[in-house]
Amino acid sequence: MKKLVEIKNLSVKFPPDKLVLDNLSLSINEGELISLIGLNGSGKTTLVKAIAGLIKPSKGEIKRFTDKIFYIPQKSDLDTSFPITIRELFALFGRKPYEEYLKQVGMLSFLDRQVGKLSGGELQRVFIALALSNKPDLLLMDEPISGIDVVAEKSFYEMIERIRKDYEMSIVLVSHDIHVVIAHADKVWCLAGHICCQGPPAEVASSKEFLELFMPHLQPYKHKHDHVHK
Amino acid sequence: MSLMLSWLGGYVVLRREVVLAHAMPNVAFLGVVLAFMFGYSITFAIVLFTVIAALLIDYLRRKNLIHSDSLLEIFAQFGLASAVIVLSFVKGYQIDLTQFLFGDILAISHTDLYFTFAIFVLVSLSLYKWHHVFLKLSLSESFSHVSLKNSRLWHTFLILLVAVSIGLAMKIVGILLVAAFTTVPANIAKLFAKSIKQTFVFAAIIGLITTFVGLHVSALWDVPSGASIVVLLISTLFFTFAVVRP
Repeated sequence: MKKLVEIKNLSVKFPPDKLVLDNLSLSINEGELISLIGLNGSGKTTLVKAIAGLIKPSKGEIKRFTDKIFYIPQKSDLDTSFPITIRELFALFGRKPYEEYLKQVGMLSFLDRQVGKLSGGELQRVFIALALSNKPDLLLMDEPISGIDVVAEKSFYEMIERIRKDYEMSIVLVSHDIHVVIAHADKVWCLAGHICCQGPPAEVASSKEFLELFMPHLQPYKHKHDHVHK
Repeated sequence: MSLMLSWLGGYVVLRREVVLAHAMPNVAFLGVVLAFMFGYSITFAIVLFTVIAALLIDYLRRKNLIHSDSLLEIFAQFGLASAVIVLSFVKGYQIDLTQFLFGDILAISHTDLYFTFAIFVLVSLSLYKWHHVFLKLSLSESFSHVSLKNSRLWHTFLILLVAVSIGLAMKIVGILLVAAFTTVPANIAKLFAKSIKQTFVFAAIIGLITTFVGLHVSALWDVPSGASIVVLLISTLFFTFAVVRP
């Protein structure tokens, strides 16, 4: 399998002396769907930004064997108070035919809609269409389901799987929702500043490091109420 | 000039860096004072000081040590405070703040004026030719990074264009008008424009119309022209806000 990105001994330090990523060695192969999981502050966003080239490594190196990498941030830096339309967004950052890519994500009728008038889920779909139009070899998505409700999550992941197959691209998906993310991935990276564990989902889910990291936070739901069921 | 500044203001407002319209005139003021002290060309001093400040701001912003807005405000304070200190060494010269606030086209030599005009033509041509690149950079840093080659160099170029234009315009029309043109027209236009293209076009038209009307009002009522234009611009903003976004 062709390698797209190779990360060797990557460390990222933020001023004054905060070590966010510590000695990471990872690789991304062609066509892989990788889930990047970890608790808040574990360095997930820093890692995808470093892969995208938005953050420079303090130590180590990131070898990119393709320059077709598209990054969709967790929180868009677009000023949505400006009346930018989806057509204008594509004219600036995408490629024609816009309609085809918007159709792929079910947003064709939104072409002349203003970006600021879209919901979080709709905006993510537009960004994915924008990414598709750039025909990337690697798509990096940071918390794409953060603006999506539970019902729409399932269809969102189905769409991700479909576009990965149709466009033969690799995807790195950052998420908090470990159950869903693990279920859809080929490979899981579990991050806590360093790589706790990595590998196929089943292997990672049963690993000691994974259970130690996530189990204390996965309390079973206890139904409590102050009313009587009829 | 109002047309050019209003257009540039579109990028500045999009980038949420309106403090630049406050910082660059202050830095330019320091250049003016030093040029006055040593007898150099005022325009050359403004270009030199704003270019150095813009490059430093760009460098420090990338280091991620201080937020962009704080960084710009620090440069604004440094420029003004240094200029006042330098002025205190010039015997018999009193600070004329009205000249700083409202500009003084008569204080510029003919050569300086031609040089300024030439730079404004170059800036306007650059805006015409590379508007889509500057728009990309201003709209989204992350998307422009992946869809634009040499995005960092383009970014530096945009900052330099904005900084030099604002600095030079300050000497002619004053800090008040420069800041108003860079901030207000784009904010009025975005209230009723239906697209980003319309926002830039409307901002330029608003800048132009308010300049003409402001100058006429000033002549008619015998009030300061710069202040009239600023008040007119801000009144238009509130009026538009009341009508479009009740």
